[in-house]
Amino acid sequence: MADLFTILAVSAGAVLFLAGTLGLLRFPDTLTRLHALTKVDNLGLGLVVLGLLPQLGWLAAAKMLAVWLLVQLSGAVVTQILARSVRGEGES
Amino acid sequence: MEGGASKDTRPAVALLLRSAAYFLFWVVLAGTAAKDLAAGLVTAVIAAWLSLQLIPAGEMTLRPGRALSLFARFLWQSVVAGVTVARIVLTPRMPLRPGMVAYRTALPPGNRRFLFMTYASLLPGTLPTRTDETDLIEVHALDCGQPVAELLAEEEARLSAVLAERPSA
Repeated sequence: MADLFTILAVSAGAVLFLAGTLGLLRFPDTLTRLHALTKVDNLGLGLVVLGLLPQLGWLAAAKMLAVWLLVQLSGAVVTQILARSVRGEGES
Repeated sequence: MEGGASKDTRPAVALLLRSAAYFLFWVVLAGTAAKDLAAGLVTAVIAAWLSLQLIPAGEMTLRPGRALSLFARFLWQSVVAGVTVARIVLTPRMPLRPGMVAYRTALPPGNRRFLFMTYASLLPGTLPTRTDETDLIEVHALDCGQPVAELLAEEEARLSAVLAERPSA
């Protein structure tokens, strides 16, 4: 049962990473590409982490959750810095 | 404020609490070997001191119950956000209607507004780009057909409800 959950969640996560990468290639400009990267890949990572949780001891599980949290935070902050520099005066 | 002999202990308490939190985080990431713990302790105190320079004690006090329910909502919103973009990408004709929306915020410039912008960048379809002294936040939206400003105003209200009132300085 736990294995089935892992397979489903990690596969769904992999599909989202694929979609995020496709977005990076297909979307027309920097800002729309940032949407693809932050939102889709964040969810993909979340599903991979969620899927792996039942396979792990509590310390390893806490570590995975910490990694997820750090990626969310750094992703959101870096995205904003990139978006600002795209829109900033005199820069393109 | 002139308090006579009573000193403001808030920064000291905050330094202690934040050091403990960073140390716990360190232990989770690095494990419990003795030499790692020593390095972690030093790092945690330095990190706590730095964080106090950036976010002074008491500026970002959270209401625990509301923070928890906002976090639950945030998890669901990140599912919606990811699925929305993934669906657009996987649709051959890519139904994008991107554009810029000017959003007027009630949050003062500084940490609170920045927290809101960071939060909003993780929500479905919105990506704040820049802000200025006139309380406008420029938001890039994936779908301009949606009432972007109204949705953001709702989210801002939710986030403000999580943050306790700033103690009168």
